[in-house]
Amino acid sequence: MSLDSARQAFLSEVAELLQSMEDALLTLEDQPGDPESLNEVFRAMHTIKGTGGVFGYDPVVDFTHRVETLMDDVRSGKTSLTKPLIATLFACRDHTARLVDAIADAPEGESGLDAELAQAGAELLERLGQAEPSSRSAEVLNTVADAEAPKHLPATTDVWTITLRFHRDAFRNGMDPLSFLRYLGSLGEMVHVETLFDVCDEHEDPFDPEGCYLCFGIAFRSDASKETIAGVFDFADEDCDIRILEPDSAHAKYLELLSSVPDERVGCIGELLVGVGALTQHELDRALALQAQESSSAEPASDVASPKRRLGEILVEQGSVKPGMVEQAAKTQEGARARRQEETRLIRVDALRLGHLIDLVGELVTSSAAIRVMADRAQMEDMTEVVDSVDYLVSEIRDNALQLRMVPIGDSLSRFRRVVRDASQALGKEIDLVITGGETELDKTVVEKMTDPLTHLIRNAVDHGIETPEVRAGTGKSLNGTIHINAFHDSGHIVIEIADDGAGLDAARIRAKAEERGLVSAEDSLTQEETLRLIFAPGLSTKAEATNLSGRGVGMDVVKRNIEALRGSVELESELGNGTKITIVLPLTLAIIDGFLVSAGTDQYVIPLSQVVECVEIDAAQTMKQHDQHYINLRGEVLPFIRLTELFESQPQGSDSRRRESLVVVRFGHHKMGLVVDRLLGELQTVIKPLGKVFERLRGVAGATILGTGDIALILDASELAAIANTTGDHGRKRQSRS
Amino acid sequence: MTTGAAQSSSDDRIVLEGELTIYTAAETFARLRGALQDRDLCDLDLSAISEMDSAGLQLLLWLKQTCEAQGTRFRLVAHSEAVAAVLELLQLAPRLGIVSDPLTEEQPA
Repeated sequence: MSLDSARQAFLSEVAELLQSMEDALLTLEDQPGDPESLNEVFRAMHTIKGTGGVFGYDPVVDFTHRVETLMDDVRSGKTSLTKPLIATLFACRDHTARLVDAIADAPEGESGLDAELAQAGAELLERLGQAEPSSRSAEVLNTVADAEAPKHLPATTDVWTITLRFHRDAFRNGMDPLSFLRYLGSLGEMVHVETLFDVCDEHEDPFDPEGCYLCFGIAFRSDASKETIAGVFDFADEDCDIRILEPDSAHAKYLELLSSVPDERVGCIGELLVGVGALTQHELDRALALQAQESSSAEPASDVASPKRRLGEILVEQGSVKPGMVEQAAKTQEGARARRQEETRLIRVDALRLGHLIDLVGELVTSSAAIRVMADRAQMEDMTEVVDSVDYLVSEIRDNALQLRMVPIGDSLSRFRRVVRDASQALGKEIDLVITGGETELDKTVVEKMTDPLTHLIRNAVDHGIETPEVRAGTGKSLNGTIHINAFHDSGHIVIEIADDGAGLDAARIRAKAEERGLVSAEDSLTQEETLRLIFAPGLSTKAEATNLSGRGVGMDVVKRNIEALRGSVELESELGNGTKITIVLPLTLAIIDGFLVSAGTDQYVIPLSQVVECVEIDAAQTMKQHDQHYINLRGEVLPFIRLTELFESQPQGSDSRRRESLVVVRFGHHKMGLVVDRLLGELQTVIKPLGKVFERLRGVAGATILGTGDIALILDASELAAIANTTGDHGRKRQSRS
Repeated sequence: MTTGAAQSSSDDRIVLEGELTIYTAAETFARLRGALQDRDLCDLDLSAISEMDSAGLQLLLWLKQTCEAQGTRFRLVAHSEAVAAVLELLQLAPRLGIVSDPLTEEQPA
């Protein structure tokens, strides 16, 4: 691995760690004592320090070291975790990110820190109470060495259990068990000592005052590693059975270490245990010797090689480790084995290659449609069959290829927890963010492009939407505002809702502002919805003063544009005093859809199949009657409709009144409308080709596709058509007067 | 050396003196075993013990256990600093019925 790619790995690792640290901090804000999260923060800092050290990023090591020290104090209860401290830790997390960025960007060999950053770091440490440079340099050295070496148990405060059973000859061999205990006492605190005088039955086995009958059970509190503790009894080893069991806290630590041992270092079970410090080398050697001895003594007895006793069993029997530990070690071992196989299943792929693949699949879809047309034309039975199965396979390939790009939206939504937290703190508001439907899958490129608009909308909700606690109290709402993000699939689209229970939009003020800016004139009559939508117009903000979060009047128009660029739409519901709900509807994917092919006049059109509700045959005459209204009565429901021939002017009007027409009912969000077409041509897979810049202003069309025949069909955009349908009265009349 | 000499004093205490270690264990053991015969009260005075090791401690435990087995009342009525240090290390003071400070003698009941 070149240094560069190693660096890259370092950067992405840091990003992940900082993300998990952030999540943990957010959890800690709600449950300050959560040990899991405390560990997470500690681990993030510790690991960044370690890997940072490997690369010689001293400022990073320096900084994270002190945050780590603080976290250690917090974990051991020496420092209590207060809200301000958590806030500072957030800042530390951000500072670490900046440090890493700054250093990674700096040219090779230059690790100097600009003064501003150094100053910011010093201030943070001041706030942490970690400004004193502790015996840092030595620690850093250790850490650097530590990063590659197996990590030994960090300080714990719990109690080790040590049992010593001295052999009968211990005294005669010059042992004085007391001297070991005295030495042990110097390493920590002997919380409890149980002395057993183990002479069974004096009649059968008379007490020998020079024999040793002593056993000790010791509860021992110490920060020393198992290695150190075992070292105390090195000399006694011949004359004593020694069992040292780690405290439960260390036990958990070992288990955790065991489960996180990198696969390449997973060797034998024993080495694994020694590696994490759960077992001393000596204990392992002894168990291995016993294993070897047992198997060699068993061998002559039987011709069949008797199965060796498992090392784990021996270790537990020796009392060197707890059974759970062996289990975990075995699990890690197996996990590593499984993962080695899994690694071949999980591959990181360049997004460009994936994009290329999807393009090719698109071409394949087009080509197979062409084959379909040829087969139909040739009218060969058996060929049609083959084409059918090819079609099926192609659609499977298409679905699978698209699936490759699908990611759950939750990962990107959870970053808004931080946005909400920071923004609400800056404004002194109490806001809960509720995220539901995070498992909903969406094309990765769509997810990425949605981040900015979503951030903007959420900031708006925090800034304009939710009121301050005082105002909320005055209106009888709960002090905590809630922002709810919800995502779900709906007819081939993904719907993202952002709802807040805040002040809602003031239609009157929006109107006034819009008039002031000359966006509407005073005479215009607008519906409530139309008025609200004015906030998507460029340069409109109702907020009297711009804050640093939002309110400068740039943004909502950009939001709308971004969403529309993804062929999505955005809707707004708001009630003054009760909150605002913004609904974003996005297509699941950008490239290939199932379409429904229709023809109107001389042209063919594709309607996204997921939007088609039903097809109804209607009499041309019947619609003619209602021509001016452009509404049809469909089973008692008033349905606006558009005649495609009219909309695209693809055919001279009203030539043939006997013509039978079909009505395709499409649904978009909660809008429903009809499209009047001449013929229904059936389903097909459609590769969406964007239209060029020339057609940018063409409304109601999402793109174009190439049909099997080589013809081009326009892909209709139901949402834009719906907008047209709503104003179609005028539209129709104008057209009428022209023709 | 005046090793672990057991004397019978007027109030019938068992008094051990000098070292109470592996070197004197056999001798002291024999003496104690003899002294325990037909005794229903065993008041042990260790105030003159200058050194005690594991073997000595073990002897003490044996004495207590044997007393209990044969129904003799065992009391450690006095002990020296050396003894106290060991008992403290092993947290055995309560088990041996010691509440007093070293050298302060418990009044016979």
